[in-house]
Amino acid sequence: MKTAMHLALRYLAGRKLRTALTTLAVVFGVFVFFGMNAVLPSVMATFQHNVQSAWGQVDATITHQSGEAFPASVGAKLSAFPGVRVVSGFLSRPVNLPPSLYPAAKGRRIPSAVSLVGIAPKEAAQIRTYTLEEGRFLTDADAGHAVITASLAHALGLALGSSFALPTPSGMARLAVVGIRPARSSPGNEEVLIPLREAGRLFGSPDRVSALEVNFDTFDATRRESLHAGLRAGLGDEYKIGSPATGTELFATLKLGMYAINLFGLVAMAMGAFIILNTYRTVVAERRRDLGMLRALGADGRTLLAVLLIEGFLQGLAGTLVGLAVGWGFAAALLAGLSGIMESFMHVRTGGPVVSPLLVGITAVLGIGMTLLAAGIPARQALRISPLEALRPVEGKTAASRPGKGFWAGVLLLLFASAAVWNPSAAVSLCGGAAFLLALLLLAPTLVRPITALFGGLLSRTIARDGVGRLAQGQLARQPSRSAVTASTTLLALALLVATGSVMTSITEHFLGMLKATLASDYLLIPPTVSVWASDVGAKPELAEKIRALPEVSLVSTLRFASASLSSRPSMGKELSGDTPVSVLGIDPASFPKVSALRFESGNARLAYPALASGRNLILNGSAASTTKLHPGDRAVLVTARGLREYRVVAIGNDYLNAKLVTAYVSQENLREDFGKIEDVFLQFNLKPGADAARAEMGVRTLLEDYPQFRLTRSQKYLADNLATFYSAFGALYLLFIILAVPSLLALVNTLAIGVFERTRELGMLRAIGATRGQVRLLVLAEAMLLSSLGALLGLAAGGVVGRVLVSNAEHLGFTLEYSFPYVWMLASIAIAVAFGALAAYFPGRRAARMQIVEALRHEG
Amino acid sequence: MGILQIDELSKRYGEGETAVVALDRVSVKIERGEFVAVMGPSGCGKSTLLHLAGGLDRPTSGRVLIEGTDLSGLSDGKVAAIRRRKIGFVFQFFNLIPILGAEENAALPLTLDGVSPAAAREKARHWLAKVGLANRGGNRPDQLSGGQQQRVAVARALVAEPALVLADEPTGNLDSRASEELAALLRQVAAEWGRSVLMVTHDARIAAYADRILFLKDGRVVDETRLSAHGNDEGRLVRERMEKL
Ligand SMILES: Nc1ncnc2c1ncn2[C@@H]1O[C@H](COP(=O)(O)OP(=O)(O)O)[C@@H](O)[C@H]1O
Ligand SMILES: [Mg+2]
Repeated sequence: MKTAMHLALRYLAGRKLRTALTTLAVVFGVFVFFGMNAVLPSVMATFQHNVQSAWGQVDATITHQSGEAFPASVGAKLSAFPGVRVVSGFLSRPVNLPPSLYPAAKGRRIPSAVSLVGIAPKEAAQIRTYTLEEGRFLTDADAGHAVITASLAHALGLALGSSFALPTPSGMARLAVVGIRPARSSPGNEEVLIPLREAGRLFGSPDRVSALEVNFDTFDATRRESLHAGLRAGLGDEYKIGSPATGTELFATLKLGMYAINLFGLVAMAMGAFIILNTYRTVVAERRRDLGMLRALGADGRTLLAVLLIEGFLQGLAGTLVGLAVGWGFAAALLAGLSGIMESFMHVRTGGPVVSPLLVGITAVLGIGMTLLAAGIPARQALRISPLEALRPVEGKTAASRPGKGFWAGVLLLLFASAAVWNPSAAVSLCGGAAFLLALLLLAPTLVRPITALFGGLLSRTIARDGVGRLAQGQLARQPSRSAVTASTTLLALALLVATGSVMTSITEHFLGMLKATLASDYLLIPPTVSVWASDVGAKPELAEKIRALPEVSLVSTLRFASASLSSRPSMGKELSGDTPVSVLGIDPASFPKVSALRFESGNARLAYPALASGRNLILNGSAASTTKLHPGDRAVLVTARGLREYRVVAIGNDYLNAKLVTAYVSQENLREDFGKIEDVFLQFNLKPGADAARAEMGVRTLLEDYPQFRLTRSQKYLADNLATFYSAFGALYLLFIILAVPSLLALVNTLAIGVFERTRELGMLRAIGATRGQVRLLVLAEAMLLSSLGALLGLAAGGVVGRVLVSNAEHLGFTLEYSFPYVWMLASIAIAVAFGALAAYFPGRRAARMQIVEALRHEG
Repeated sequence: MGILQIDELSKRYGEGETAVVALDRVSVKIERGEFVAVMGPSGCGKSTLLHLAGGLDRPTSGRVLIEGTDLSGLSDGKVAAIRRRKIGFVFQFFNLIPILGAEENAALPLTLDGVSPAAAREKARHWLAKVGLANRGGNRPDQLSGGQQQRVAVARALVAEPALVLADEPTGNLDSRASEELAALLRQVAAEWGRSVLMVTHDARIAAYADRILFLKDGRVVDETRLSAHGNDEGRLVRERMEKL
């Protein structure tokens, strides 16, 4: 053991460059895995927050049975509860606005009271989205500062920076406006937000809250049930726990995101392992001669294995420690960068890297364990051959090209995948997609030869003539499994890129198409909350009439709204509990198709719109059709404010604004008759050809003075704004790709550097017989290009199939998507592969080119 | 004008105290078709001389002329071109590219020079046949014996029709029979095919195949002998001479 330790240390110290390179591989592996996974919880939390707050949903609301405020310490108790992601308490009191302070003014409606709400800024922002039109959000340190809504600011004549007075139990409070939120659109008092501590002081109830809002960290239904039960048991009878109805679509979206993000974590792990394994395999192969010589001198196999394992352990340990540090720094830097983007586009703050002891543990096991494994397995193989055989100089023996076990496993998986991918069952086809990816990884070593031959021929005919392309191709085929493992990291990164690209392209194309069709008018009048129609205050039909009367306007079309529920029962049943809530939108069958268009999944515009005008007919959107399982021709029973009404489904079609909601379209006639609703909640209009747009805008703005809830905007602008948010929402994803791309680059550099190092003497010989420095450099470049092409080709194939499977299974998660081929992403992947090939070749190529021939010839292989 | 002319060539490695003078003002001239062997104890500077003659390294002082062209003034790329076209190399081991077949290996200097692969292989085939490997063009190095591998290396050294062939202990890794066969082949290269050959060896029997033998010691040419016949007697003669030094 002592000899082994001694030898191990001497090897590490004696071959510094080698030691550094291999330890670096461990650092890379650990860095990739740890950094990625430290980022994911924050990305996940941000994602969950975005989705949940967009739905305005809280997992549990806790109040005291008496309705009174209760100690804030209950919140601290709840946060300690495992499974609770965030707890946020608020203290709210209505405050009257005395007319003496706020005298009535012309053109303003002064509210008689507002709600003064104390919130914990950090926690509150994790539960709800507080968008700001101007200024900033509250911080814990704020005193005498408030955030108000634009509508309150308008009513009280306040602007950013101005201050106002409110009567409180502890006297008159002066508050300065530091932030302005969008106008309030829902019923209830206007809110004045201040920090919780300040509210406690003003109300004379320090450290108390009127309610606690809780969000969980899981979407698993049974786990949520038990969390609720746990909270109830923990709090006792004194408290009430309100829980929301689980919106299926919300959970579907969250689940989809969870899967995607966890996939990133797994892929990062695989890539880390690949980098480490690949490097060590070569190191041990290099040691062959030494091992033979030591055995000839009398060292036994156990001692030599111990030498390699000690080296592996020390390097694994050092690499893991450095990797942890680098990974953490990377995660922190990335999140800092990310939060800038998130804050400016989505008004969301991201947390720092999350490092759980579990993650550190897994990382350490992975880093050190992988290194030990990577050093031990090839060492045992090397020790199995006789010392004499080991001593014989290997003239770079070419590995056997006979397909091994991995190949046949790959073939079997491929067969399974090709059968499973098109299976209608989501589980089976997703397994098929995964199997296809795995099959390619297993087949990669066998595919190295044919694929590099293909690309090598191409290279030989283009950039790498003079036989250099042929040399590069041969070099990769020399160690097919090493080439395959290197290419595999590129494969994984690009597969993920292309698969996600497929989904994103499909979503984008889908929504872009709908968005354009939905907003086909020249102008829109937008209510405060588009598509959450219930909270919008509509306009009487006279607004539309007056706009129609403007000389520049050619056409006006409106949407009207009523809420109802939908029963799939063919006859008017008695017991209708558990039916689907549905937004019923009233359209004008004549004018609607001219400014907007539904995308029909079944049925068509020519028949569907006239049908709405004749009798109780309706069009369902995709969400409604998939939740109720109704088809065109079916009868649907609407539970309306005025009783049960039977409609016939004539078509299934979607528009952009309501795509996520369960929606039924009926004629405005029927909406009036069955629901008694005549208010317009959304208006679109077109101008006459050549009409004066500025005058028309002015005319409409004048009319809107009586309808301040509507905002006039050009459709083009609204479209552009929507697209911008749409794209920025995916910003985080793009960054994740960069994180994934980096390791594949590192793996490539590592393999090339090792290849150059190993072949020092061979490269010296090439130079001796007349190869120029440029040709040697080109050789390394060609190798890099071949490796990355190999990875790209397989990655594109894998990503294409997995993406296709994901898109076709999106409906099981609540979306129906048409597959769009991700041309842009495919091209981007190829560009990345080529760029990485060139980049990776730079340093190893330079090293190879700068080699002194004579020294290279003397190099101890 | 000689094929290879070396004037006052010196090579010093390192600086100051630890400096090693590997070659000390050596002058050699080799004519067309001449077969010259260099002998001497290990570390006397034989490889250094060969490397400098082939432009693989730059001398500390002195100059090397290949067919009248002075290497010292040339750029790296120009020297590489001279190596491809005017010089052939044979080394002791690790002589061939393991992933290429014999024919591709032999064709390398031509393909590197931009000759079309088909034409290059045609020539390689020709030279492989001449060194006695007519049917081995498709074999990779690991499928050939050591002697056969060195013959491929000789074919490669000749494929570009160079004026000069440099060989550094080409028999160092071969058994005695294969060694003698290779020496005979190099003799043929010079005598029949008109190339100049400069070969380093420390085997007296191999050196005896040469026309002329240079004896090197501590970086200097200390003796020189011309052989008129090539056989066992000469071998003994050379060995005696070596031992005397
Ligand atoms: N790169 C180098 N750095 C330092 N010394 C060297 C180097 N190459 C060769 N030498 C020294 O130069 C001398 C001649 O070496 P070499 O020409 O290889 O001898 P030979 O081939 O005759 O055995 C030796 O003493 C050797 O140690
Ligand atoms: Mg030597």
